[in-house]
Amino acid sequence: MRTDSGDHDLVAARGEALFCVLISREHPTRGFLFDIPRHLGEKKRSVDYFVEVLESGDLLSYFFVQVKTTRRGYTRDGRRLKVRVSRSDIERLASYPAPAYVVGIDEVAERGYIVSVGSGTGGAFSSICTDYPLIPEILATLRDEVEAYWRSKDRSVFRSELADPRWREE
Amino acid sequence: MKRSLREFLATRAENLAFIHLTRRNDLVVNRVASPDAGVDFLVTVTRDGVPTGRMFGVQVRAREGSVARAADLEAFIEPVQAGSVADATIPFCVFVFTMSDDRGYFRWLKEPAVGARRKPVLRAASGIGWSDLDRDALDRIVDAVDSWYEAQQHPQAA
Repeated sequence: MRTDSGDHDLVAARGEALFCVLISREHPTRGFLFDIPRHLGEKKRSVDYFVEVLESGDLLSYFFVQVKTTRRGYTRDGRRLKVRVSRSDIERLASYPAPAYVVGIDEVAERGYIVSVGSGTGGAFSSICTDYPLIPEILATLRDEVEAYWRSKDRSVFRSELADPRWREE
Repeated sequence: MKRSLREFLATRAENLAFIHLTRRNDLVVNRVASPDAGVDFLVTVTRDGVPTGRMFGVQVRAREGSVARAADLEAFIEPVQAGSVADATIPFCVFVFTMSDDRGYFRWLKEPAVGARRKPVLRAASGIGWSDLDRDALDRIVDAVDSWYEAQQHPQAA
């Protein structure tokens, strides 16, 4: 945990801690769904975290995440969190042979939102939708789609219910 | 290799503790690397961005499930002993997080207080119960720490 190198590092460190806590929350009926995310260490790479599904039998199910933390809040309509995701980040995330997601962390309100990144995702983005908060119900959907991907015989296409509708349009 | 459940819960609790402590932007929160040190975080109070040397220690614990109220922790977890910090010369508290609801609770292990003639006292707080850990509680913790150090620096003349 980075702690004492100024505001920017503090926001980033809080964002990382919030992500680790929110993604590993306990579901009321299904228990813990994901292991604590493993930070991949290197700065300025597109993927920040490797997240493994817990208790997945003989199947090794996992996904990659880029975490974006902000104190800038939401768009005027309150429906999108203001985090910037670059085109190169999107392209690199989509190129991984595994499910990949962007998580936006509202550091002030201590909330997080997840959206999937796929081959159909284009462009750079200055905000992400808040349709998929990191709450147990959404975590269950996330787990189901990640497991379905790894159980599939055809892994050439990843279909997600957690896609940002604006990302798909652009 | 997957973590054990114990390690998983401990890591979650440490992250929760860090989130709580960094709600105040005047605290420098340092994780202690050795898990056997009896302390998980050393926290330093800053003033105008400058560390003051006013420190307190935090032990962090995780428990499965949840409790209806802080007082229920007495029966829910094994008694917390101040033994591992018995010789500590700075204030110490323990944070417990319940994993079903991510709620936090705290109690002092070495409670800072100001006695007669502004004498700083560090009490082994074995009989003191649990409180909810929220922003107000964190403020109270830091205020108590601050007052204790203040009394050390400016004791009342006998």
